[in-house]
This record gives sequence, structure tokens and C-alpha cells, in this order.
Amino acid sequence: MLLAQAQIKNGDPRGAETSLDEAVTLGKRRSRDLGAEGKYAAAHARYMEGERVLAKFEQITIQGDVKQLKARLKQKTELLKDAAKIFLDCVSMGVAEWTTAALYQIGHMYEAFGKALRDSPPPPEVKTDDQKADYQSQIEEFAVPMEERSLDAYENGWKKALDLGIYNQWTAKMRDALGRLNSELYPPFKETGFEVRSQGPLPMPALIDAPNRPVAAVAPPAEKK
Amino acid sequence: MNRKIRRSEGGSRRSTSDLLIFLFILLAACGGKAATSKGPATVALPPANPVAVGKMVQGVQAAKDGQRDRAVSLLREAIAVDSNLWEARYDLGVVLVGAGDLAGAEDQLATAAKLAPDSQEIAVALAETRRRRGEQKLAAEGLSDFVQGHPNAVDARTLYVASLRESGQIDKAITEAREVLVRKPADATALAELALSHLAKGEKEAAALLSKQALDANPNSAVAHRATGLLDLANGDDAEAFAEFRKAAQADPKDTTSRLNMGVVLLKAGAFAKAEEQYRQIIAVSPDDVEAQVGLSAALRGQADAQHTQKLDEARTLLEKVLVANPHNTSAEFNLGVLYADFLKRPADAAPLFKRFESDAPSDHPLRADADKYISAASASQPSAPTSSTPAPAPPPAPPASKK
Repeated sequence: MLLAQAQIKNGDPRGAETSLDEAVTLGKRRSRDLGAEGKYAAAHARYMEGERVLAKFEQITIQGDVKQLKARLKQKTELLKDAAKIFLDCVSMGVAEWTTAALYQIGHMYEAFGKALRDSPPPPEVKTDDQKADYQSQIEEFAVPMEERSLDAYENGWKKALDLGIYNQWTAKMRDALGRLNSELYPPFKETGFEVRSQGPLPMPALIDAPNRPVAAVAPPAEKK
Repeated sequence: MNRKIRRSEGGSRRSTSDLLIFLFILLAACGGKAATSKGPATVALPPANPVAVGKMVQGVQAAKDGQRDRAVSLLREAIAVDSNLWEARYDLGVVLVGAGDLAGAEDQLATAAKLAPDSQEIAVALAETRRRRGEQKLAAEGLSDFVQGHPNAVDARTLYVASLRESGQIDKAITEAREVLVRKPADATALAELALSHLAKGEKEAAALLSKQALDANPNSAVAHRATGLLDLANGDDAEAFAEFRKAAQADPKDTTSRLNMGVVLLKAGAFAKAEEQYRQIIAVSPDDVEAQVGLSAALRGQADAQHTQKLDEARTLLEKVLVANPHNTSAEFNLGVLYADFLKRPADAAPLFKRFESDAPSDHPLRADADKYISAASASQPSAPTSSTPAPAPPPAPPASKK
């Protein structure tokens, strides 16, 4: 896994792919013998494999003429399926951090697909207003289920994270997404004033029980104010 | 019969207490050293007034018995009798900090410091009070003078490191932390402060090494666990960070910062009920903790739904209470505005709060645009008749001069 990270840094994507594959295979084959660190690394490697497919998925823009559009949509859908399969496999590896990260990414992919569909410009063949409206309603037929799947993924992922007591950036991102997609049921967190702090009170020194200096034997006359 | 026994027990307790006071005074009057007294006084002061000392001893006992108001009253009486009794001023300062009266505490401790400039206890208590008031720079300045004259005062120097770091003087903090470690090599607090200073400079590897050393030096150091948690956060490992904050809170139940940090992580994750637990625990230890009250209100708001509308009322009451005590608290202003606008559906009541927020918040506050939107939405909605029997809190009559 560390080798794969170095290979990615050095611009060796093929080498990284091989290393990740080996890390995942090894992790699965020896899952019973692996300690927490080994399992973490294997799940991280699987997650990184998913991220690589996700990057390819995100590179494909939905535009062009009808023929190009069909091809691109098909390609994007295939990549979405591949990435979702890898992320679900990552979830099955049972490592808290990568489980939540993978669940978030599944929701994110569906959400991104739905948004890309809605934001896509109509193909040049679509010219009149009627055609454009028709196109838009057809797009909606695809976009809405995507959004619903994304909402399901976020909802299940967030609930699972809370059940497992995993409170990390991925849990926060899923809750954030729920606020975005279903503000009625999951009102967005708009409040302010919550930053992680490094400074905290240090203990105060102890009370002084009595003076450590001479005390007059007799009380002097009261002080004049 | 029982009453008689109780009365006789009470009488014996009182006479024991009187005897203790008498012995303290006698010992001090004879030039003897009381077992727990501390701190040399270098300013030539007349002998302490025995009546004042008696009240002080009673006041300290009351503080130890948890009778804070009685302690404050007795210590004030002691000072009224003998205004040079710096020990009573110091004790009063410490008790007032516990009561949340930081301004009053700072006044007493600053006067005590003038009377006993060589007392490390006073220097530390005064600086800590200033830190808690958000006056990190002032705390650092005061301690700078003290550690120059008292190079071996390790406690003061350790606090000096924290104040320097918090006031952005990172390199100086690193130098001073090393000075502490020369004198006390395995000081977990100094090691943790050094770790945080390196973390502030983005030097994560050095910070990791130092926070590990801090935990090795004292596995129960709350500061060391907090530093480790912050390092974990910086490395993106939220789960480990959360675990470290939890350990810090367990190591020192009064370490409210770690609980506040846990509350933040939980709020952002949407684990509102868990966040509520953390904030309630802070309030149990520190009832006037404003940040905990603001956090608790958000945690309650997060749990409110059609079946739990009382949580919204509780959140509102909490924020209103914060604004009564701190009329310029921008978080409470904004959050109460959000509560009125989005959840209680009273935009007209929200608008003045957002206006107050805009007047109090720094000019570059990222939520100004949001506040503008809420104000516009409120004015776009029809002119509002009173929508509720509970009016939104009125703004303060005139902004008092801020001490910060």
C-alpha cells in the first residue's frame, strides 16, 4: 500500500495499480492472520482502487451530440458500477475508517451523476424550446432515481457509522450531504462557533491555607478607609 | 437524644475548627512555618492582622468544603480588615475563578502580585486567569517578566510556553519549552506544549515524536492526550483523535477543552444525542461555560423533531441565557437567529439577532452573507405581528467597552 502511494507520487499509475491489487489480494488471502494494521492497509488499498475508478468516472463529462452522449453515458454508468462494486467490497473488509469513506463515496458518485445529468447542455440536435423541454424531462427521469440512490446510500452509510460509533470526517460529510439532499428530514447544520481547540485551561494552583509570615500578636486598630 | 448528639457533634466540630484557626495564628505569630503555606513575600509588609488571618483560614476551609459563597464573603472580610493580606487576595482570586468571575479574580490576583511579586502561585494564577479570559498576550507578558527574575520557576515557565504559543509567538514558545525541559526533562505538559508548537509550525513529525514522549512521561496527562488528538486530527485520523480526546477527558474530568472538541466532532457527524452528553458533562463541571451552552443548544436543536419540540424551547432558553450574560456573543446571536428563522418559523424575531450579529462580528466573518440573506428574507415576509408570547431577547442598551 505504501509502495502504491509512492508510485502514485512518482507518476507510475500502472505500478500503483499492481501494488494495490497485490495488497488487497494479500489482505484477503491472509485476513485471519492479519493484525489491525494489516487489515487497515488492505482496506485502504481497496479504497484507493475505488478512488482510481472514481477519478476516471469524474473525468467523463456529459456533452456532445446524441451519439457521443450515448457512448459517454454508457461509459460513465459502467465506471459507476465498477467503482460501487469496489467500494462495497471495501465496506465488507470491516475497517471503520474505510467503511465510512467508501459508503460516502457511493453516495457521492450517484449524487455527482445526477448533478452532471442535470447540468449537461442539450445536444446540438435539440433545437426548439419544445425539444429542449422534452430533453430536460427525459434527463429528469434519469437524474431523480440517481439522486434517490445517492440519498439512500448517504442515509444508510450515516446510520451505519452512528451505529458503529464512528465519528469521523466521512460521517460528517454524509450528514452534510443529507442536509443538502433532504433538508426536511435532515436539517442542515448551520450553527456556528464550533472549532476544535488546542488551548485549554491548565489547573489553578492550590489555595494557600495560611500566611507564611509574621502575624501581629494583637490586632492593630482598624484601617482607615 | 439524637438531636443532643448531633448538637454535641456540631459543637465539637466548631471547637476543633476554632482550635485549628487559633493554632494557625499562633504558629504564624511565633514565626513558625505552617505546613501548607507557600510563597515568599519580598515586599516589606507589616505583620498580618490576626483577625484577618482568622477570617482567611475560615474562608479557605469554606472553599474546601464547597461553600463557595461563604468562602468569598470571608475572604473579602479578611481583605477589608488587612488590605495587605495578599494570601487572602490570592485565595479569593482562585475561588472566584472557580465561580466563573474571571474579571473579579484578575483584579484580586493583580493586586496580590503587586504585594508579593516573587510568588510563583500568584504569577501562575494570574496568567491562567488571563488565559481563560482570552488575554493570552497579556498572560505571556506578565509571565515573561516573572520568569526573567525567577529562571527556575518551572510551573510559571510551562504556562508561559502555553501563553506564547496561543498568542502566536511559536518560535519563542519552542525556546521557552526547551528551557523548561532543561530543568525538568520529563515534564509531560512542557513536552505536549512543545509538540503543539511544532504542530502549529506544520512540523508534524517533530510533533508526533514529542507527543509520544509526553505520553511516555505521563500516560495520564490530559494535555498530552489532547496534543496527540490534535496531531491525529491534523493527520486526518479523526477516529484516533476522538479516542485521544476521550482519554484526555477521562484523565482530567475538568479538562473541558477535550470534551468541547469531542462535542464539535459529534455535532459535525450529526451524533446530536452523544454531543448533548458531552456538553452536559462540561456544564456539570463548569456551569458557566459559554461554549458548552452554545454547543448544547445546537445538540438539542439537532434532536428536535415534530415529537420533540420541547428541545427547541430548551435550546432557545439556553441561547437567550448566554446572550443575557454575554450580550455580544456572536455565535449565540447567529445560532438563535437560525433557531428562530428555520425552526421556530419566526423570521421577524430572527432579523434583530442577525443585525446584532452583523454589528458584533468581525467585518470578514464568513457568515455575514448568510446573515444578510436571513435579514432580507425577514423583511420580504409580511410585516410581522407578534407571533409568540415569548419575545426574542432585546439587544443590550449600549455596547459596553470590551476589555479584549
